[in-house]
Amino acid sequence: MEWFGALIVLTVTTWAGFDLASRFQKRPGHIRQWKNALQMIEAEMVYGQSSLWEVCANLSHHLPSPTNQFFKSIGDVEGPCRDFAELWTSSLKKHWPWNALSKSEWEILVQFGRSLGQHDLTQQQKQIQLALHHLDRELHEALESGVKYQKMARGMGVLSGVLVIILII
Amino acid sequence: MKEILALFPEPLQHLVNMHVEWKALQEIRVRVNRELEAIEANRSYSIPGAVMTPKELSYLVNQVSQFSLYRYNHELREGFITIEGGHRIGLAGKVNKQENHIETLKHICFMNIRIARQAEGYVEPFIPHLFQNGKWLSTLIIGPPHSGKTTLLRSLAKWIGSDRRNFTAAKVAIIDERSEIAACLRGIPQLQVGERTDVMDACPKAEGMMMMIRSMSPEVLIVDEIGGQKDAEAVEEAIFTGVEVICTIHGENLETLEKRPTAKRLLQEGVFSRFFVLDRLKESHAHDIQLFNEKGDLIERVRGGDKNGMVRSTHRFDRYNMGGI
Repeated sequence: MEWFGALIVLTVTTWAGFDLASRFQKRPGHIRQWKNALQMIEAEMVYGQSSLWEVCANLSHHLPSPTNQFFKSIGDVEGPCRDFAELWTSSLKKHWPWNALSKSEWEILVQFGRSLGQHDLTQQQKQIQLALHHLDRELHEALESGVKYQKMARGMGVLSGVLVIILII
Repeated sequence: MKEILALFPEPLQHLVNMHVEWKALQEIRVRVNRELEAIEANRSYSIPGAVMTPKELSYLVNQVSQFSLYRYNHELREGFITIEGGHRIGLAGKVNKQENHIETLKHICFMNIRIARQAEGYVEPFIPHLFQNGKWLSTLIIGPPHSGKTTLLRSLAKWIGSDRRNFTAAKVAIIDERSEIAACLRGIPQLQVGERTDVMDACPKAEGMMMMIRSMSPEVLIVDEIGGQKDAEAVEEAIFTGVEVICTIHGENLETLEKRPTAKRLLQEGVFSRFFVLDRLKESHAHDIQLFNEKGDLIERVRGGDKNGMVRSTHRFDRYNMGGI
C-alpha cells in the first residue's frame, strides 16, 4: 500500500514537472504566433483597409490554434461593442489558460489592445511595431531561458516526488 | 434615425431621444464639455443635461469609426466621415501638420452630425426647361453655402437616372469628390441617386470626369463644386466631348459669379445653357430656386413656402442683368 501511494505521488509530481517544462517549450512558439498575428493585423490595416472586426474574423481563420480562438471569441461578441479595449482584455483573460505565455506578454498584449483603433494609420503602425519589438525581446528571452528551465522543471518534478516519498516513508 | 442614436452612450441616447424632434432635425452639434445642440430649419436648442465630456466624445468617435480610426485617414484629412444612412459627421479638433499640409486630425473635440434626408419633389417644375429635343441641357447650379445646391443636384440625378411615365432614364455618371451627392459607404450609395446612375466616389473631379467618359459612356455627368481652373477646364472639355454636365459652384448670383476668373471663362464660352440660382435657406422660407436660360432670362421660379408645400411664383419672365453675355 505504501509503495502504491509513493508511486502516485511520484507520478503526479513528475507530470507537474513535465507540464511546466512543456509550457517553457511552447512559449516561444506561442510568442511567434502572436508576432505573426500582429504582422497580419498590420497588413490588414494598411493594405486591406479592413475594420477591426473584419481583421479579427480573418485572423481567426488564418492563425493556428490556440491564438485563433482568441480572435474568434472577439469576433463572436454579439450586440454593439461599447469599449474595444475592455473587450480585448476580457477575451484575453478567458483565453489565457490556453496558452503558455507569461506575465510580461500579458502586459504587452493588454497595452496593445488599448491602442487598437484609437489612432490614425501611421500611429497605429507604430504601435504595432512597438508591440512586435517587445514580443521580439520576449521571444529572445523565452528561447534562452526555455532550454535551461525545461530540464530543470523535469528534474525538479521527479526529484521533488522522491523527496516527498522519502520524507513520508 | 437609429444609426444616429446608436452613436451616443446609453444615458445620452435616452436624453437625445426624449428632446429631439426627429422629423425636423437637421444637425446635432457636439462640443466638448457643452450640452448637445440640436438644429432644425428654423430653430436651435440645447438638450438639457446631455453634456459631452471627453470620455463620451471618445465613445462617439469610436462608434463612428467602428473602433477603426486608422481606416479614416483620408476622411480625417477632409474633415468628415460618412456613416451608414448617408449621414455625415463633420469633425474639428487639433490638426497635425507635416510640411505645410494637413496630415491628420487628433483630439477630435467638435462634431457636427448632419442628418441626411432624401429631399424630393421640387425638381419637377424645372424638368421641361432642362430636357429639350430629347436631350438634357448642361446646367450650372449657383448658390451660397447651405442653400441646397447638393440636394438639388442629387434630386436631378435621381430624376434623370430613373424611368418614369413617358420618360426613359438617361445614363448618369456622378463624380462625387466629397462624397456628398451619393454619400457612399464603401462605394455603395447611401442615398437614392437613380437607377441608371454610376458613382465614382471620392475621385478628383478633373480626372474623374475623363475616366467616366472613357469607361462608362454617360449621357449626363453630375459633378459638385467647381473650384479651380483645372476643374473648369475639365468641365469645358467634358461638355465639348458631347456629354451634358450638371455641376454646382459657390456664388451669390450670376453677376458676382462673373467676377470669379474660373467661372467667368465658363460663362463667356457659353458652355452652359441653363443656370439655377439658389437663395440661402432662411427661416422664412425653405428654399427659393430660380432658373435662367443662356440669355439670362428667368424662365422658372419655385419658392418653398414652408416644409410641406411649394409656392410657384407668378412672374415668369423677369429680365436678369447678366452683363456682357
